[in-house]
Amino acid sequence: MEAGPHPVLESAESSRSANDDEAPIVRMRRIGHRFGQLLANDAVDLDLFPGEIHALIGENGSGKSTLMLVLGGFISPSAGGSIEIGGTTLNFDGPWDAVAAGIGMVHQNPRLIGSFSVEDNLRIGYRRADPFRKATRRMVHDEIARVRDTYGVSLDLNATASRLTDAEWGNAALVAVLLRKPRVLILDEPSAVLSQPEEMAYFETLTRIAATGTAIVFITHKLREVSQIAARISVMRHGRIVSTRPATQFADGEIIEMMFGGPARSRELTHTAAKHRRTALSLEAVSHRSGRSSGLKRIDFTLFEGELCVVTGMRGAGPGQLEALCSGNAAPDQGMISIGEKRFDRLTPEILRQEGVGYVPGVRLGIAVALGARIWENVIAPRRREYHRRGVLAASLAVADSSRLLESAGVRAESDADVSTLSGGMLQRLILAREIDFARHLLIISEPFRGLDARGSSELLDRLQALRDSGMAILIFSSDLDDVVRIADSTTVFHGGTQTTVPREEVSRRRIGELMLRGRG
Amino acid sequence: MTRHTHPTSSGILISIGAAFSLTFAIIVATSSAPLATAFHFFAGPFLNRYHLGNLLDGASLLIVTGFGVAVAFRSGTFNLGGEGQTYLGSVVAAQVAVGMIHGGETQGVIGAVLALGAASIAGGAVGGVSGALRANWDIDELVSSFLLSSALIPIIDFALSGPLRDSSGYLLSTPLIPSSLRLLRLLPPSTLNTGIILSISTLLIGSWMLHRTLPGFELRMTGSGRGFARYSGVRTSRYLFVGMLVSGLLHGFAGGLHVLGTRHSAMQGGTGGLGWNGIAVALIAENRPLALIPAALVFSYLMTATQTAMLNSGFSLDLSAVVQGVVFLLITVKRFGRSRD
Repeated sequence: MEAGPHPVLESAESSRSANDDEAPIVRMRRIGHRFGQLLANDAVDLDLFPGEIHALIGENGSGKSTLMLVLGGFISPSAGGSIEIGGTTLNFDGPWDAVAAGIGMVHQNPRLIGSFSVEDNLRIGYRRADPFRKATRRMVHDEIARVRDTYGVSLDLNATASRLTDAEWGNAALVAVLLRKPRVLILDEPSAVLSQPEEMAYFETLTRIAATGTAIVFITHKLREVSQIAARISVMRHGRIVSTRPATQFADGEIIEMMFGGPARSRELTHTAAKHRRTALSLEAVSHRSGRSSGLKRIDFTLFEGELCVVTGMRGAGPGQLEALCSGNAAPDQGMISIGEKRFDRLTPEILRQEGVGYVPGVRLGIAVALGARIWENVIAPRRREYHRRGVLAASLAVADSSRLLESAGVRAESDADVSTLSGGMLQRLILAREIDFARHLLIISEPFRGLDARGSSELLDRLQALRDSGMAILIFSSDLDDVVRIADSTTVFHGGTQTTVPREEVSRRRIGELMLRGRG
Repeated sequence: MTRHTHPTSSGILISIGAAFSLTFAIIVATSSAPLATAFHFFAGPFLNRYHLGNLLDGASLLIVTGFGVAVAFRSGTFNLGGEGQTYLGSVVAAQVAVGMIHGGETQGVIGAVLALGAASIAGGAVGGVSGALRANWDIDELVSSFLLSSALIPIIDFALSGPLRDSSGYLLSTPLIPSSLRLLRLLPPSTLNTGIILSISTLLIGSWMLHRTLPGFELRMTGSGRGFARYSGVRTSRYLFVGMLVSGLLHGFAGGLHVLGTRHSAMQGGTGGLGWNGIAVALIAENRPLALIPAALVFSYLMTATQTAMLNSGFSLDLSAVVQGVVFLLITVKRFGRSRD
């Protein structure tokens, strides 16, 4: 496939050696990128060859997306590294440079204009790609239809984008990228939302694209599809590529071992036998369906007082929905949820607060704090009734108690200040301290260590342990396997909407990882 | 550490200053006797009791409508129907008051309380409809309140030119209300009356409720972060309704004050501008209740100034509308400027 006219690339092509079938089209060397304290990519090398389908696999947060965003020109690697395309070293100032170099990326959640037809959406991308050539409506239409048919993409060009299924939406985004004739195609978890037949058609399309000499690299969590379609596989862990090999050279179970095996990063919570066996939270035969993901299928789940349970799973596999149900943000289609002795058809934030449940949502800003309000108002909001005597605010008490909470949480600020004056780390501390203080028997935390530095994480770990030992039921939602291994009394792993609970004695990164990728089997 | 500073406070001064300068420029550019016109514009409102009293009376009504707008804002809603709610309040107050003549029962204080109460309930009912639509079906209260108000105004116009009109007079208005119900004039011949005490008391009590009671706390939390309020266990939809309800009540109350204190009858178009200008006043005050008092005074001063300039020199009615438009524009510019920081 010919790339568009690009001076740098033309000179590169003319300098290629005779055996260019062997030469990689992309050569990434020592790519390093930091997000704050986190080293998301650590001196990563990756080669992509023309016509190959290359799978990039790794657990959440292992650095796959970061690496691809670097290749797509969306991230400029902060810790150095070089990218060579077709033998020439290039610096991408932004995605437009990557596009000009023949790199096309289909994002995990592609953006289309919902009220436009598919064709009009594609037209926008088409004009942008080649602004100097005059193109008639007819020509553009023919070109779009040609690309669609060449690669066998099922897509109705006249359909309104907002009416498309998830699969068609992805197809439209794919065609938009193909119109630019990429030499390298990046796909970020393209098959997460596809059904079995849709997936087969999609793989057929990918095979056709690869046959034209385009290199395809795709990010995935699904082991099965890796073995089905990828010629080579790179496994990422903790920001590094631990292995790149032809797919046939991985022994059974080896990929899982590479992704999840080995020791966890840091110290663990000490475990004590649970003494309290009163139920804090239970779900009975709860089902819930939601748009994009597989839904929850008749879940039974019980959490006892004095127990710390971590719920995990890949994106869309169920933990997010369980969190929505437990935090009162979604209603089950069937089943009952109990807090302590009380049974409910559904929970609401109001019920949670009445029952004394502390909750730290994964998305903190805008939910767990009101940035337009004062610090003390944010602190007392869940317990506001206690600070209004006969409906009248006891302002000095509220401010004094808030100051005490700030001090114990290590937040250096006055409670009368606006919450917006706090830094991100201070906000995390404030929210955690408030919810821990609020919780009577049950505390729900999503992504507990998000935004905390090493010291903050360590303090939180101590705090959670003390709480659990004093009889608090703690439910943690986390996608970080290290969290799971070091703190859980028990771990519930979701796969395709059903769960498997692993007792503490059997928890290992490998066991949990296998359950996340394969479910029970 | 910056402590709850209000970064836009200087912005308000700039926009008010710009409004005055621009007004002055317009006067100089258009008037045959620019100095005299400018004098009457800037000093006119303070030269006699009549204008000063009218200025204060105007401010007293704007405090109430401005507070109505601010309460809605603080709950996270936007009441764009203040014009119709105020207008309805004025007609209801006049009807109740006039009805007492026929009932033969013209008890002063009780009658005034009844008339003002009925006016408030009428305004509150209209605002409450929009609030209920929003709370239960997520129908945009900004649109519904505006449409309801726009539908009410011509209906009231019709009523005042026909069924409710005082057939013995030449004006398109209800008959005058009995004198025992009228609020006491404080600075005759101006319209300033004891209503200003009611209006400031309402503001102070309302402000206390907003900042010192549980419903006030929950309403403010709903406004400053609905996601957070819901998460904290506040039934936020209730406060979308309450915000609009109270906003409507206050607008209706202002309409009642206009009849009992200022005009002594409900006239066609009599309360015109009170609703819109209430929004401007609330914007100047950034929805802080106590700041509504200076904001209403400044705004009322501008209105009176264009009037004195018009009466005493060659300042045309059209130009005074231009000046008011300029002020409104500059205040709104500030308002939208804020969303960027």
